[in-house]
Amino acid sequence: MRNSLMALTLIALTATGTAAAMDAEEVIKYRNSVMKAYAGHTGAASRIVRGKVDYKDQLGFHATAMRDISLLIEGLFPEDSDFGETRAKAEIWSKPEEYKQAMKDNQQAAEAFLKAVNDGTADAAGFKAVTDSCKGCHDKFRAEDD
Amino acid sequence: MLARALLAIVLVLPVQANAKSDLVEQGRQVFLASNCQTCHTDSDNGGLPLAGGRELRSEFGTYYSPNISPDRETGIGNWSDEDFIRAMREGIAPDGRYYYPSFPFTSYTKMRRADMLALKAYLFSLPPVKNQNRDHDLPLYMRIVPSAKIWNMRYFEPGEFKTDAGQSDEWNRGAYLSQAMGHCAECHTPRKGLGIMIEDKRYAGVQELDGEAVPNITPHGRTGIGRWSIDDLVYFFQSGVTLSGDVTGGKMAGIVDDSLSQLPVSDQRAMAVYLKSLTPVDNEIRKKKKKRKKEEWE
Repeated sequence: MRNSLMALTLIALTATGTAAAMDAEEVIKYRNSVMKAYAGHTGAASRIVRGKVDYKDQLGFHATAMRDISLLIEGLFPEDSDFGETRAKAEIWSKPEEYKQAMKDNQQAAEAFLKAVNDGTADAAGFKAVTDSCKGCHDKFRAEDD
Repeated sequence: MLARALLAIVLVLPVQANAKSDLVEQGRQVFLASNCQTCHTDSDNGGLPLAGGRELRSEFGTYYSPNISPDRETGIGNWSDEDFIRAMREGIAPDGRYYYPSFPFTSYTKMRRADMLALKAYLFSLPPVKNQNRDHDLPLYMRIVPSAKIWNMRYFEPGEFKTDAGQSDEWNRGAYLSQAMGHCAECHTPRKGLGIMIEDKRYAGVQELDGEAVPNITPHGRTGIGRWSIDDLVYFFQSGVTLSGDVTGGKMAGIVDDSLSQLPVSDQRAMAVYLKSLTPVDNEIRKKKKKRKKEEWE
């Protein structure tokens, strides 16, 4: 009993230790991949919304992914992940309230778009509300680089 | 006789009023396509529209855009039509001083006189804003010689856009919008010493301009917009969404919001047609890395 408790404590400690020491460089790589995935779903959805391809049945899949990813982003910018292959601007950390609001705008727009897709009322304007919220955040918090 | 004169006045007045509002509306279109708003408004610091004061950093010092609202004291409210034309066409202020090419008169010089006058009419229809112009912050070597005048006389050739009879109306409209109004080349073309554009790399992108990379917008397959269709470009102008599904930010976000997305679809399409017709230039704009903070300390 005592041994297993100790083992549990050890596992817990190791786990916390790992989380705390999560390599910032790895966080940045992970973040880049998540944002690329977001762009991938956005780009794919845009081609359906614009009527370039006839995969309307797949719009819900992309809209769901966009909504889900919008909820992850806020947690991907820990302090000290502001170097290397990132375009994150210092304002993310120096203006946390504005940054939180930009995240919220994006989450709400993505949620509303998903709902519209599920209700069969999705249109170009609702999709543009999502990409406008992406643009609003990139405008303030991302250095342009490509 | 009197009745006739009155009738004439009654008949003519609305026509004149309409003519005036048509001119102002034409000017508003020129204003949007020329994207005056983004640079002449210090939006980052809550500046009022067209009151100037926006910081424009360059390797030749920091410039502050002037007030172009019709305020008589601090703006352009006292300018005559000829003053306005001279500023736009020749890069010379009413007091005879030369502008630095941070003001893209190098592109606006191609604008047709009628469009310039319409633009002035539109600007003068807006509310005047009192805001004193701020002096540029330039290195000593540029202040002790008349550098703007020397540059203007040596490197600048004024002249209106010439229609290319061998191209379609749409192409010519796109070329005019891109060259004379939207002034795309000002940011998208790399420059050599003294800020001279490298002609064979026109529109081929810039590795770093005020901390941002500016993409290659020639239709080169791998490094430019070769894979974009005309519709893709139009959609980008409307939304800021790129081919990869990424959404633009930084300066281009402001340009999409204030200018490109506000244009009629026919103009967006004309610009896309023009850009797709450019000679493809192989010029890869690479992502740069931010220095690790630790490295900066060491």
